[in-house]
Amino acid sequence: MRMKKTTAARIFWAGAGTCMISSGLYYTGLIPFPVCAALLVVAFPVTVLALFFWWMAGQSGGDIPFIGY
Amino acid sequence: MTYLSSGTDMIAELVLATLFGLLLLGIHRKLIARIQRRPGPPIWQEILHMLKFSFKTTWVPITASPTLFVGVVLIAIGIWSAAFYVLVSGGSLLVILGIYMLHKIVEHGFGLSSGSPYGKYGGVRSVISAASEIPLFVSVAVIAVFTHSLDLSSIMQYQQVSGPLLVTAFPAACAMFLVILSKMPFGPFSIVEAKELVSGYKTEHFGIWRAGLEVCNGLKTYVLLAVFLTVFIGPLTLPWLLAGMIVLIVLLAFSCAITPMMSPFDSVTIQMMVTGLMLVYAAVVLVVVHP
Repeated sequence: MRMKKTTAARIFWAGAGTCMISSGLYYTGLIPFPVCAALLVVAFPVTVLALFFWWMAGQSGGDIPFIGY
Repeated sequence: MTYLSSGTDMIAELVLATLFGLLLLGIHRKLIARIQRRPGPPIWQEILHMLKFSFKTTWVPITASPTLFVGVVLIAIGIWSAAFYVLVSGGSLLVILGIYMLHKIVEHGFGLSSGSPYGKYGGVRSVISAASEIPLFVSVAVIAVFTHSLDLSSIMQYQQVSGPLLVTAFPAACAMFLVILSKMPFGPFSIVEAKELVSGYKTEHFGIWRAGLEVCNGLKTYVLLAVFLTVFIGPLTLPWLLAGMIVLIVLLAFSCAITPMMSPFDSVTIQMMVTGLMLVYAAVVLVVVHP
């Protein structure tokens, strides 16, 4: 199984978006602190790993050797 | 220290805590080297490590369980992110203790998921080193006896009135220091990362997986040191908290530099002896101080 650079980028933006939206909702008082923290706890690790995948991947090959070697 | 973060701060604090934790690990490594009369790496080496690994070619070994191999990295970062938010919200010390124990299971998962014998032995040693948690139980029990609560916010309120627990419950602070020492790299109790196991449970996790593990280590170091200061010193402003963490890491570095890594048997024996002493201390506290 291989992961494309664009897929890694999409996962990163989805994770980062979740982090920003949950923080924004907490800031505006729409969700309580525990809910915001729970969303960040789930989204932050995914965002970090997806970011690493995204910037590690080269443009030329298209695919990142991900799983299967 | 106890405050609810504003929305945008919640992400920034998590990232900065990770980076500062990695910087503390770099200071730890540098100090050990200088004490042993070696030049050592620069103090930002652990941050560079994280970045370096994130650019390395990454794959999953054919002997590994792919789901567990990848998932355990996410869980490792996730549980310490949760511990960080419990800390900043002044939540329960028991939850942080639970996360600390969960980290042992995660280490075990790291080792087992790779299929490598070195990783498996590292994972097994991680379970053995759970003996280091028993002094923590007694330490937490003594704190509960003094403060009648295990909420970090209540513990800090108690210390504002009665003074730091570092003075009134000094043996409990020593026991918790020992627990943190057992989680530090290059320490006398770092049996999970002994040289005969290559890199122990993280031997096969390289590239992006190792970078993720570095993020986890940074957060873990920050949280454990901040919890120690919160529980035994009391509420601190951010500059004092960071200064206190640097003092703690210096003490830990000296402890690591002047003591050899023990064999697994000796490590567990010493930790059980400390547990025995802590039980005697807890009995004294219960019978004499707070009958």
